[in-house]
Amino acid sequence: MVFSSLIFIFFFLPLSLLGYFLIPSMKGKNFILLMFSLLFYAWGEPIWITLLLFSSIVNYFMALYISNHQGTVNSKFALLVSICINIGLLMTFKYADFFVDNTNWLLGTEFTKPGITLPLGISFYTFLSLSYTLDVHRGHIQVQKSFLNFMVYVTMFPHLVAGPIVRYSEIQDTINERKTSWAMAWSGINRFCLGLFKKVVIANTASILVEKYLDVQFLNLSSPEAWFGITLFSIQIYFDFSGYSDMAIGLGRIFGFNFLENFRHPYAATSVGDFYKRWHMSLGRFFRDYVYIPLGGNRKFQLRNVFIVWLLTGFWHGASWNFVLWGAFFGCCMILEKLLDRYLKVTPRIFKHSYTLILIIFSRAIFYYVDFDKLKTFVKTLFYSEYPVSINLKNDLLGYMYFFILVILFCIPWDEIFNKEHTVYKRASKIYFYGAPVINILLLLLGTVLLIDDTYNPFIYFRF
Amino acid sequence: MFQKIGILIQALVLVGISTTFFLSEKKQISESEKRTLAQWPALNDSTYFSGAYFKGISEYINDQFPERDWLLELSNKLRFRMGVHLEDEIRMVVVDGQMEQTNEAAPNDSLEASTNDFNAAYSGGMLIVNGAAYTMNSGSVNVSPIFAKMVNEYATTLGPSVTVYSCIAPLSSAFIPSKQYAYLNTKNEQTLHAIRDNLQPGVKFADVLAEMNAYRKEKLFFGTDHHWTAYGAYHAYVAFCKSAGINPANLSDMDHEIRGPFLGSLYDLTRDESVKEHPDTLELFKPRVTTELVYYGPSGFDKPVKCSLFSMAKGYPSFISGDHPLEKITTSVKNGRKACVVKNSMGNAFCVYLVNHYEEIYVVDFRYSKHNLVRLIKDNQVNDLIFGMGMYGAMSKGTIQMMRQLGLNKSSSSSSTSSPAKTASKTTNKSKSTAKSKKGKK
Repeated sequence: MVFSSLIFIFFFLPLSLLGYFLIPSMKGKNFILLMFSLLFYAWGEPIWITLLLFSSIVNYFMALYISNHQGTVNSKFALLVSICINIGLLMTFKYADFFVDNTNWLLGTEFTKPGITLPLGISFYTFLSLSYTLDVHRGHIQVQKSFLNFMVYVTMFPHLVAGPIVRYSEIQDTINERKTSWAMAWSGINRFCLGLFKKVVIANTASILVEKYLDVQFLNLSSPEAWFGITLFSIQIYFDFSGYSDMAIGLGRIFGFNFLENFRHPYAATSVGDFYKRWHMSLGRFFRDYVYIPLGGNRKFQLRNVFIVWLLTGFWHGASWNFVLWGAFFGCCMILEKLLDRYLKVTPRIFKHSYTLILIIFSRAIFYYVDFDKLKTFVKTLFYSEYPVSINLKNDLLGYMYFFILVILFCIPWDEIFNKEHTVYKRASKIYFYGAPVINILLLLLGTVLLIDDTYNPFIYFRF
Repeated sequence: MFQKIGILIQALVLVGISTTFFLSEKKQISESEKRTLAQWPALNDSTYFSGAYFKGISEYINDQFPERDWLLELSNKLRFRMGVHLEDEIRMVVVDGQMEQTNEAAPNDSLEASTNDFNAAYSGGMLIVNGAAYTMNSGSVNVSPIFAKMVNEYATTLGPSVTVYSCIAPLSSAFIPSKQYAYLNTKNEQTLHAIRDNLQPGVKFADVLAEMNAYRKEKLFFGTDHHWTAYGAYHAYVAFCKSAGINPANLSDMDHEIRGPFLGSLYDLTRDESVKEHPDTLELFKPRVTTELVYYGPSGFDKPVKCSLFSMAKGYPSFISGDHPLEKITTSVKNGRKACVVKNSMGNAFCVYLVNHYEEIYVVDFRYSKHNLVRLIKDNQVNDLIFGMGMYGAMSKGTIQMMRQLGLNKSSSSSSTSSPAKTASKTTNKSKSTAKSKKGKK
């Protein structure tokens, strides 16, 4: 099931909230949350729910074992088993076809591809479970003894299928006992409605144009149109994923959880390194804590560590070489930035922002075209095309003018420009505070209207 | 307190809409979308494990949502108002071409092929120019020889007593009023010439595109529908007459009637606001020839239904009362000549002009008919076999195979004879009801 669907908004959500708030005990609330989360997952993956349960059960017992044998060799061994099982599940269910394909290509063998369909959200819940056992082993968190509460942590539907990758430390204080306040629920509703708007109005509209420029017109694109198309895809992927994260964070708040932010105006970044700190921050935090720092961080072999992290980040996104290439591209950019650091420090901000944006938009091409031949053709088109600019470009710029204005307004980091004490910020906050009941209803109705013809509009990150 | 009120309002709206859903009447068919709406799915092992059950529920809720038609219209308006639209703008929209066929007369297995026939030409990019929709497809020079081969096979089988004609209409992409897309006219030409170049000697080629090109400033295709207008069909008829060496009738010698306005299949497909703002009118040119028309089921000739050359429908289904597996037109022209037209829906508007030249015309819709074409032609001593259709019938191997199959069909059990003439006396008059039932896309 997806958040941006009529069934979720008008049936699943009201019923789950009703069940949740009618039951007074925390145990009961968690049980209701678990049941609805399993139903939420089963809606899209009736078979792979078994895999989710298997992974959760294994990690629950492994973490208990690690905690009970803290500091011993047995604990380390249990951690190793847990890592192997989690990574093994990921390798089998996400990367098996990729490995068979490449083995066949490399060795000339003819192994049959298992052809497993990617279980929904496996990359997210595997990393989430992995972070839990690692943190238990490090003694950073206390092990969760209640199986019910652990299951709620892993399967909670707000973050289950597309993140953010919630760390146990973020919610350990609230998983056993939490209080939901009107203020928190209200801010959750505001956030959910904002996310719905970003997904349904901005990302879904951009997707219409993306298909037109990057697929239908692919063979006769002019260079400006190719840039226009890939910029639109950059808009789509950002609003799609950040919209999802907003909805997840909002839903979390309604149920009394505080998830950390996953995005912070990434397109306002002034370097690739800065972008990394603003985009899919929960994944960044995961690789920082479990890969980058253990490898030596910026103390030793920093450039190597950066490159490895980016390769893995790319590979996490999908079982395809283009994602590895995407990671390598960003890795190289980061290394170059580190090498040119002293020059970049004195470079005007506008230049830094421009080059970052160009590199990010360019990198989306590697993300979009899984087929290398298509990618090659497209990259060539970005710089040279025999086709003149079609009238479509002008008409779409005009025909979607208000849409583009909206996109720009949403991409600007207003909270960074005006600090919280600034009069403009205060006034805007006040207007939003009093206007929110009306704004939310409008956003909800707008989302409903635009969803009516869109039975299934999955989030892009579902396929990762 | 303020937040409490906000939450309560929000909850009331959610619950209010959900309750309205349960109380609202559930529908079977959407008139505006011309498709069957999703019903509550059946639960069994197969639907559960495949995920079809849950998907079905989601579709049911979307399809049966209260005031769906109004919300759809609003949704299109909102998307259209996301910017400024110029009067003379050219816009490309992307469609999936997945339209549902609503021909009740068609046998079930034909529906899919018929829909594919349409989808082949109307999926991918479409251009909206001044509120008129145009396909961007232009056929395939690789498929044209396969079509020509099939036509040749009929010519060989039927022998010299029957003249075979290829009278294929271009797609609307040939007439996009923009220099930028002029190349699509050339591509249409290449596709049609690839048919011409592969026809065997004796098979005649009507150069419909060349004839239509001379009149490209006229409204040759509807803007909201994928069919051609009476003008477009007339020029095809003139092209046919030229290839057959006969004098075409003048439009001025026919009765002129205007109907409408109506929105056709391309509006249903694109749901584009500017297309909606430019509805079509239907112009009919009625030859001053007395005609009788009956249609038959997919096979056999035992239940002829009487209808008329121009039904009362508002849009394209007016011509020969829409699509039927087999229709027989008997005219007051007494020259002993008979024609058989193998067609898709584009042939309907073309056929009406032929009544000026034939005593009997058999109209076979290759998508629905299970009659044996060769036997039909031989038994009824047909002189001319005309493949008169829109290019989308000749651009997919599947539809070409359906035409080939017409010659291989076994005669149905009910047809002890292949001559509809012998059973035509037992007709039922259904012309009005037929017109109504064929309102959907053909």
